[in-house]
Amino acid sequence: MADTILAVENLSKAFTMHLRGGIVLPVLEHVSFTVAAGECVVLGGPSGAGKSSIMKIVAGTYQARSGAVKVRHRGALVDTTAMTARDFAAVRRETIAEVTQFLRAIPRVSALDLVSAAGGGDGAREEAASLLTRLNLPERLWGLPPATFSGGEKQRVNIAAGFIRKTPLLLVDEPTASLDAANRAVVVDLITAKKAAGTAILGIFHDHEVREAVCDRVVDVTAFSPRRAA
Amino acid sequence: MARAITRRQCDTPAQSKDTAMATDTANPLPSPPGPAEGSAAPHTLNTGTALRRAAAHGAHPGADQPRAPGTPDEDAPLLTATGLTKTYGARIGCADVTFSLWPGEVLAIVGESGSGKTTLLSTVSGRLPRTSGAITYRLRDGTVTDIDDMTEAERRRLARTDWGFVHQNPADGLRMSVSAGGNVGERLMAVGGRHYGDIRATAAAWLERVEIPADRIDDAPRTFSGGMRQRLQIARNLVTHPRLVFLDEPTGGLDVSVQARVLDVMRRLVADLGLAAILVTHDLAVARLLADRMMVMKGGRVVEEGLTDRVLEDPQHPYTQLLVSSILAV
Repeated sequence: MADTILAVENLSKAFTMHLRGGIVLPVLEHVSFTVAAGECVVLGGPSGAGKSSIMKIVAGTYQARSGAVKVRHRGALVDTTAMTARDFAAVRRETIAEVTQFLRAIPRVSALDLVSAAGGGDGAREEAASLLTRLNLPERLWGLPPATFSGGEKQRVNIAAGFIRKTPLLLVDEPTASLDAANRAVVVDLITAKKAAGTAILGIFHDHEVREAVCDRVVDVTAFSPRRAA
Repeated sequence: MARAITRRQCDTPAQSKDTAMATDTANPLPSPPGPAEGSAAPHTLNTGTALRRAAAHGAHPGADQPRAPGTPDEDAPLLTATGLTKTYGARIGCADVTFSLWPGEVLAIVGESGSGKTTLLSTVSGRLPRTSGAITYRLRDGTVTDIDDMTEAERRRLARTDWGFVHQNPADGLRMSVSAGGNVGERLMAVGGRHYGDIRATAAAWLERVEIPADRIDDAPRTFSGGMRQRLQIARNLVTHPRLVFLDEPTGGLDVSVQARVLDVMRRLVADLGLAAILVTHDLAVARLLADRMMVMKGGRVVEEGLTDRVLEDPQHPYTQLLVSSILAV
């Protein structure tokens, strides 16, 4: 399909624990699915099924054991499991945005600076301010480093830093876990707008309401469980 | 050893750059000593194009040349090390290390004490002679040269204009009894700055960038705290707008509270100036904050490399797994 942004093909992942006698912990096998432009695909399944592992492999934070993860980068589908770290860094910079569960605060960098830097380019500051306003982060916090923020406040900074980017692919891992209803609704609006703009979204949502509101298709991750297959 | 390299260059006057490089890789001849600071440059032999090229750069250190991101050059490595080996007699310092560094990229080298990371940094930066292997560097005019093909004076000029070296101990990189402004200004004068007022103004601007109060410009770093000294050393190195900076445990001797400021200053400057940097550290958090890519060393060899977060969150090699699992969580 011409508008495929992400194609995961026969992906498997296992952890080899060298410090524990080299035991191999299989996590995923034969993972295959695609995400098209403007589509929100949700990874479903219970805790421990490997949802976050799939997200991290797509993001490049985990290394695939075998299979392919193809991402449309500069117009062509490229296999990120077969490229150098430097090339993958370029794919991340231009093509993949990520909202993780936990914010990695940088000492001394304010919330507004952090979100602006994620956006980059002209007008990033205004856009960052507008996103933080929409997400109801009090303006008195903008100039402060988020290290001391509450869980919900950090998460909103994280969401703003992910959504300010205009990449073809957006990964969102439990973006609403510690948000109240009003802010969950804002996140739903943000996702809807991204979809309308043609962004392909791969997400994990435990919140049913949010999931119902944004999800086009669920990929059941338990189908890729090696234990089930055995 | 300098003589050996000179002789080889005389033997192969007509070689093209490519064949010369190929020869270097295979040639077991000892390498010349690096541009040791403070030592005289006794060379007298003109090696032709390399010298003229470097001389042109000496006259125009390029401090004011605007960077053009996105030019085709961005796709060519700035520095490439191939099969780099340094032995101390029978003992291995680093063995068969191969990597490339691109403009604007920060590469961290991590490992415990004795893993060879500092030897590798010293060898790549020409401070230690290598035993074998090749290092090529792309000059500002785009020509790629083998460091071996340069004369001692050319390498010293490169180290003064295009490279920076931030030592773990600021006293190793600063002149402790010269004023802060003088420490920064000295590098400017070394690349041709002559106007006192300009030099002082530039030095003052750089002190501000590294968060040293303006009224300390005439104080010697002897009177500075450890964190201030380290930030001054960073200013001294960056004032000439180098393209490549070597960072050797830059926060190693500092309290954690002081580290944050040094790290933040470094992080901002590296990003703002589009610097390439090779960062040696045993602190994985420092590597995570600053580096795009990471190499893990053990026993002088690179055992794992990759994107920084990938190496830290999904380490593959037993040693990396041990290193990562040994971090204390707070």
